[in-house]
Amino acid sequence: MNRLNPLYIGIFLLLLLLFFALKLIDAKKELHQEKILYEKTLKVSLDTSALKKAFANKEKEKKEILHILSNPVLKSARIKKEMTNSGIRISSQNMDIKALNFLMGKILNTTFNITMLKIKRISENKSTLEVKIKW
Amino acid sequence: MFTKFKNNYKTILLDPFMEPVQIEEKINVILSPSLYWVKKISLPVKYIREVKKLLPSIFEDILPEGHYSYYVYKENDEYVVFAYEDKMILELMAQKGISPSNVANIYFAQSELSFMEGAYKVNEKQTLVVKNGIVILVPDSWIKEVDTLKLDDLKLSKHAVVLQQFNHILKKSSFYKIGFVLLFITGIIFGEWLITIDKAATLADQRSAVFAKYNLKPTMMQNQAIHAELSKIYKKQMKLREYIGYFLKMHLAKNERISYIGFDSKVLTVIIKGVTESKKIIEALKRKGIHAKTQLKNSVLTLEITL
Repeated sequence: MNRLNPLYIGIFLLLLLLFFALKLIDAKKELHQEKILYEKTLKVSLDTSALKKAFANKEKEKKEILHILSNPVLKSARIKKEMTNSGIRISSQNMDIKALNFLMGKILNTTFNITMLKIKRISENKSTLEVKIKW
Repeated sequence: MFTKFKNNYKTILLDPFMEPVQIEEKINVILSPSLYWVKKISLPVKYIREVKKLLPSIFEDILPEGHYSYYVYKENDEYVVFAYEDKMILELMAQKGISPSNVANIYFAQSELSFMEGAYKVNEKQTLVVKNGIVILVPDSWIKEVDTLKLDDLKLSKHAVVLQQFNHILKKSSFYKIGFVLLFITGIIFGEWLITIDKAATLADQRSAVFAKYNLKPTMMQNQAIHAELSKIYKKQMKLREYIGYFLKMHLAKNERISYIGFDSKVLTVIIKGVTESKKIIEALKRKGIHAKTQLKNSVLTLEITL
């Protein structure tokens, strides 16, 4: 009777099956968590990357605003610009409607982070302007 | 020193008429001829494994209904074949006080005692004799000179059998089938487990690759904080552009004019001059889902919208 009892082998196989079944359940849970984490990471990465490109690209934004301000349409507006490390302040005390439309059209259609804006009508065709852009 | 490894177990003859015994150590059991069927046959086959396949048919005419196990060994040119009922032997062992866990090996009287000469008393009624090379039991009254059987000095053969404790419930083949099915399912689950952990590891690697590709901060908490901050800026800037766009396109009455648009990082302020009735403007804003704080004073309507 030294040979192994078949019942023990059967129980062993059942336990083995149960062990791997539990392992599989754990692994499936882990995989599910990993999938969620991966998708979350990917979403955060893609969003952050796109948002950084739009709102945290200092050199690109600096270049763009300077390019806009160099446009001849704005010459008559005598725009003052104060550049700091964290952004730019643009102001004009006498801006005609054409220049205002051009400048605001460009600023609003570009992904600048506008932190302050003041447009005040001073006459039918003239206005004052003050804009702060942060980068 | 090595006595622990010696296999000098006590040997007993298991017989239906024996007195119950008290066994606490391991023993070898020799089955009495009344517990098995035996035949000596010549067959035109070379190997024992070929004989094994034929065993059920060899005994099919003589065995009563039951679940039998079979055993065979070769002796000279003949095969000695056995049929025995596991359940019956196990039950008898239980009746006689022998636990299967105390049994080291089980042998047939045929394989262990066929060499003996003379007659040996087995119980009150029967005697063991060898006739034509077959160990048999005969009534006590047939034999005049009877010796006592001494089994402890007996050198046992290698023809030990293993009793199938569940043979009467399930056939051996069924056990194998169930075992195979269990093993197969276990194999599938094991495979699936390996694939799953591999997939999880691949995803973890891909996640690390995403961190490297997008130059992310070391922890997700930091990245989520950056993401939340940038998202907040994005939403505010989009709203600012949407609301300014709306005010610039707004249909105002003939003498109404926007005189001021201001934004101070939180609040968008719009001042409209020449307003006699603010209701229309406020309703238009509500329809657009813009909630504004309004103040009308001296035909000047001040709208403050928190972004």
